[in-house]
Amino acid sequence: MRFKSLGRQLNMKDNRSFYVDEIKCPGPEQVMDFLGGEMDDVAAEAVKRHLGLCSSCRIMLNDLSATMSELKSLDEEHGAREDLVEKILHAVPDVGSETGLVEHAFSLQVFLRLAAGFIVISIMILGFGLLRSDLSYGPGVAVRSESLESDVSGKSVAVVKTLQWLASVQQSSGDWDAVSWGGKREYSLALNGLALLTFARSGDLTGMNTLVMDRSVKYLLRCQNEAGLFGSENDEMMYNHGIVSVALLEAYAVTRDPKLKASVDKALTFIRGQQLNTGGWGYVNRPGEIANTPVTLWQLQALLLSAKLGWEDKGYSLKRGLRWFSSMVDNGGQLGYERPSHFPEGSTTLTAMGAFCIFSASGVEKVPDTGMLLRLKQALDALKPEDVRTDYYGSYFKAAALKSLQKTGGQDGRLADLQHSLIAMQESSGGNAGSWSPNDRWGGVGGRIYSTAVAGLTLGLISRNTDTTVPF
Amino acid sequence: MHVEINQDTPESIENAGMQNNTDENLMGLVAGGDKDAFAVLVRKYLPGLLNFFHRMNVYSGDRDDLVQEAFIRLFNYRAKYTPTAKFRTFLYMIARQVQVDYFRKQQRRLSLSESLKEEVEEPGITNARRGKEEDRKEMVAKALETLSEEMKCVVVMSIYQGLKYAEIAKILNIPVGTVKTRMFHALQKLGKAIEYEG
Repeated sequence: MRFKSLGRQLNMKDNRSFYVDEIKCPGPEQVMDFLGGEMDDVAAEAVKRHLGLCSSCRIMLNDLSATMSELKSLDEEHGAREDLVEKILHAVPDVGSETGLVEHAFSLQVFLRLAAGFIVISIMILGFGLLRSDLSYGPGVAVRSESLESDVSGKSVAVVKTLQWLASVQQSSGDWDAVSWGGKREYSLALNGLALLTFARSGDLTGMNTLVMDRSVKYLLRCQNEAGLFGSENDEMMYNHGIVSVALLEAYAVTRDPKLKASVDKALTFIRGQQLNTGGWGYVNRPGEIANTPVTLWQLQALLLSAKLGWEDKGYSLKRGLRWFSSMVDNGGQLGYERPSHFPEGSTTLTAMGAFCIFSASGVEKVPDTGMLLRLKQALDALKPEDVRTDYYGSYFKAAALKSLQKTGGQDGRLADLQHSLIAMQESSGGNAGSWSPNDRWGGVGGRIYSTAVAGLTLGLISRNTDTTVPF
Repeated sequence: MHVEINQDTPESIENAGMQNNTDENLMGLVAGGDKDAFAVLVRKYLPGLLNFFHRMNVYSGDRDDLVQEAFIRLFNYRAKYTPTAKFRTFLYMIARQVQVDYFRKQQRRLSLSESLKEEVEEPGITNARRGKEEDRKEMVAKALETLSEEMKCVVVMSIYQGLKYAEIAKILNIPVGTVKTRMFHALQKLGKAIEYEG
């Protein structure tokens, strides 16, 4: 039985001035909030008290509520329609046939911008003789004259393609199966860290990228043991641990996830615990172990980043590490591997690592010797374009060092050269479109996940114009 | 030292992941071209969209096409979706536009109303054969027909799609207060139109 209607005939406008026991009759918006369950508890209680005192409103609300119930009784269940689902799935384009998400969304305007960019860059490439076949990344590299570096809404298309490829080969469990892409099993975690780093530093944390990062972070956290170490205890553990720690710190920098913070805390404690008495880090903290520049670099990067994010430098670990790093610089401004002027695999990458790390520490730690900074700068200035274009890993640190040296404005010609080279070598078609062939000196160790992540990171840092919370 | 790695199989993680994923996360995957994630969303929202077009007086023979059109547009617009926006709102904005385009392009609303009347009246089945409940439902359905397009859309989205007023406001691009006021007046109008027996 439904109330006939005093309430239905109420004119709410007139009724607004109607008070019962100092509680105003609710207006249409409040009524609908109340009936729709979208009113907070305090307000709903006030309305209920009012209804206990005001019969007009009580009847009106009863009527409206009854009408809603009647309407709901019409609701029909539309069951599963697998035939229609299949039809819809058939009608949408296949992922494999797409040339990429970004291209798909291009408006005519963006297309024209790209076309203009393509023409300009092609002219540059031809004009400056940058179309070379003697790139240092490995034999048989097909150099494309096509350029993909035009930006879309500030994003580097080549980097977007990098992320798309990495996303496409991420496992559902959140890891990248580095081994199946040609990497060594013992470096698997480090390679996962590099891939995560590519996303965390991309500056594009929307849609797919956020998901990829989230999955990767969860996977890596599952790989951390009680002591805070990521992965197994072996000779490569500090490489793996350092790189993963840096990647998770970068992820923390953009997400501020408290769970991540706790994990990073433990990771940093592990790093401090592995520091050698000399201040550097070796492969394992054991008697007789000698610190080396590459392993120390990753631990220092983690500590530097943590300092920038507000972590305390417990035990002066960062300060001692930087002091060790500085002690590796020789009179020519070059960093040695285990001691000054010690270059078992060449000097340029080690020097770039040192310069990058020491330059990016300014503002966090005082660098004791300004003369050493000058020597480092001179060593970097002496690098020729071909010294910068070496292997993906080396090029990355050289680009990072040059970038940290380049304070404002202008583009270092060597970075532009490196950028063109990397873009030219990015796979443009097939299932590996967006990736890089692992054809450099470290390709046999890192495989395609390494080459793609590091090339993508390098392009990302070259194209980045502004400072971020991260060291570079 | 010892590394403890979760031993879930990739399949179980993937299935659980799909099920546990929010719509927003799934749409993020769709933005990356993931058709499996798209299929999950289609299966989840297809009944709701069928109901929406049904209640918005789309001719029964055209409803499947409109649902298909809405999902194809969703897929094509996937790059424009940002995770900050609620997925359901995004989908219904598209569905509403599909419905508006449908009526505008075909200009068949009047004839549709006639078709629907035929459907509701179901010639061949006499009123005598119907129970009271069917009669009441018919009455409510007819009353719904009397609402303006603007009011009906708000009622359909709120009552049948379960959308919040704020979501409806976003979809229709009107203030949330207007949504509530339309809803209020629509219910009053429907109440008057429905005659009840004791």
